[in-house]
Amino acid sequence: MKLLEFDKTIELLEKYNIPIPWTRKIKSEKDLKGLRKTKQFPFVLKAFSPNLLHRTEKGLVFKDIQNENDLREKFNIIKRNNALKKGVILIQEQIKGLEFVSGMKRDKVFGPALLFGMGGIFVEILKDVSWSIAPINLSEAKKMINSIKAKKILKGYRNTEKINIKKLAEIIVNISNLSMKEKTIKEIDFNPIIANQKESLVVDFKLLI
Amino acid sequence: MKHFFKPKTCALIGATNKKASVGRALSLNLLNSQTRSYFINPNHNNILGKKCFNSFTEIKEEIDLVIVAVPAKVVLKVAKDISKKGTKGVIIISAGFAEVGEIEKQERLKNIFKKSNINFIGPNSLGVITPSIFNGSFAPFEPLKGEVAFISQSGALIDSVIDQSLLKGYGFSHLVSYGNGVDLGTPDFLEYLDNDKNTKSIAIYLESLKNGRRFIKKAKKIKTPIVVLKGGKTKEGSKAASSHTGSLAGKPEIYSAGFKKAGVFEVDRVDDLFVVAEALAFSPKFRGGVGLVTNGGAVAVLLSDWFSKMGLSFSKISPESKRKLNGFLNKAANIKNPLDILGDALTKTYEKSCRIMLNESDALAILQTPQMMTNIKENAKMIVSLKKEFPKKTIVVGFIGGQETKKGVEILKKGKVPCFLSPYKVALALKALKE
Repeated sequence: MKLLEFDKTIELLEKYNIPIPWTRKIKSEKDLKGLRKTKQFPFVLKAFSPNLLHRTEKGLVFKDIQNENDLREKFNIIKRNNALKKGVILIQEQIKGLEFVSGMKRDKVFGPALLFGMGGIFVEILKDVSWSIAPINLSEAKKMINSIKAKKILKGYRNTEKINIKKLAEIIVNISNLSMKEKTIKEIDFNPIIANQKESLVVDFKLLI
Repeated sequence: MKHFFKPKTCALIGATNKKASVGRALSLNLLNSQTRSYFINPNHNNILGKKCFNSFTEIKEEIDLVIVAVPAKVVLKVAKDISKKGTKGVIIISAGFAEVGEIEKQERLKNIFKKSNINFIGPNSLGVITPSIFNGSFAPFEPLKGEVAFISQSGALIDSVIDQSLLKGYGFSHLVSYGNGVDLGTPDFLEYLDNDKNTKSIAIYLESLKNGRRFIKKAKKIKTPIVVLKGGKTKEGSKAASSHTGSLAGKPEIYSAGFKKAGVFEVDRVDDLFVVAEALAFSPKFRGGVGLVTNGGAVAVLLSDWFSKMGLSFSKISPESKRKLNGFLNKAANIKNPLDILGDALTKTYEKSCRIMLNESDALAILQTPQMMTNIKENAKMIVSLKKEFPKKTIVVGFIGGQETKKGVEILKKGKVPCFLSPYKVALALKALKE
């Protein structure tokens, strides 16, 4: 399986109303100057390439960029990285909130199967995820969200804020819609989705063909 | 589909006298069936006192169902013979196909029947049983007649289940083992069983599905409740499954998601499969909390623990009901739900308490421990008549015990009241019955 290229990925995300944070392609240092007037620090810089499935390990993602010098420096580090190859470099506004994952696997028995879970180490170590079979509606998506073990955290726990469950559920429904219509997409991996009281945004998106 | 479960005429290819053989077991079972059977074996003139034909094409009469129990190497030839004369359905008992790596042979078998437009069960099947009507299987024991249909990928498991059912006293409307499931599989039987008036619930054992979306669609369409046990949910289990029925088991979480989507209740033990099947067959579903009447504290505590693990809750008792209960219960009794009517409770006390609790909720659990003053049989009879009086209420009974308690259990079974011997099973049954 291969990663769908950036422009086509964005096209599909828009078509199915899947919200992402403010994101732009950066070709040269010059692009950095114009863009950061519209948005504020901190930013995230990362590579996106059809040949790259894992970026963090390869030094192709930098979070928490706080000033212009840092931005330029990190941009050049990514640009010089041999692993980048034909990929593009993206600048993205950094979103605050809790991390979740959602996605789709085309199962040979059940067809598009949808996944939702807590992000970060929770998905890898605790495997706190729930599954459903597409197509699903909003109430089924909410049930998926409410069936994870860490569901208490959604309502706000100690100093974390309450999560807007409806916005999160809408993303799963939209993954379901996309999966039912776009048969060439074999797998979808949204990790992380960052959610807070106001919104849920897909920060990292991979559509596999 | 009826010709598989209640054939008027049935031919057995591979009938034999040979002691301890599949062919003989099938021959004997067919002779005990309400079907006109024909035996076919070119090496015999007579089997068990019945004329034996050389080939299927020799039979003049139209045959509803053909059962094939010949060695794998001659199955394809026999399949062509069957296609020539024609029939409504075929069961291939013979093993030696995909489950031992003979995938090509299995494909050829599939194509022969596809061309002649004949549906078939198997290969590697135990057969089909409709207790007291038709037994087209080589199962060693005859199951009792009952309300649960059992569809199983495995035939050997059916043998174990029948043996267990005879011990525990439950029966079946139909049993079908579809083996490698090359043509007919689980989804294909659902509609027929749904229309069958004797089938009140469907229990399924499977290791894999060919088409999960088709299963969801068919399961959602029918009204008869379904409970399923999926084998091969771990890596090791699925390895064992692939060499067993020749199919690879998919991701366990996705299977569970599929069952949920289909509205099917999933269990993970054979025992539980029939606990839930019995509950679904004999009891309506309910909403809300459960009322509990018990004559022993510990069993109520244990049941409460299972309730909390399974997400079930108890209903509240209104002040008026409390007053009524206070009127006749022992002063030592604590009036709340779970309601402990204490160890010396007589049948009359049970009955009065149950009636009041039935007023408070749609579901009632009745627990009994066999104590000095406990009248097991009378309690059972009282519950059976209560169930008849309140057919729309969910009543699940736990007679916690063994040998002596069994006398009551038998009465309850006859009265079609779901009854179990452990608090866990009572809770599981209620979980399956909750909307």
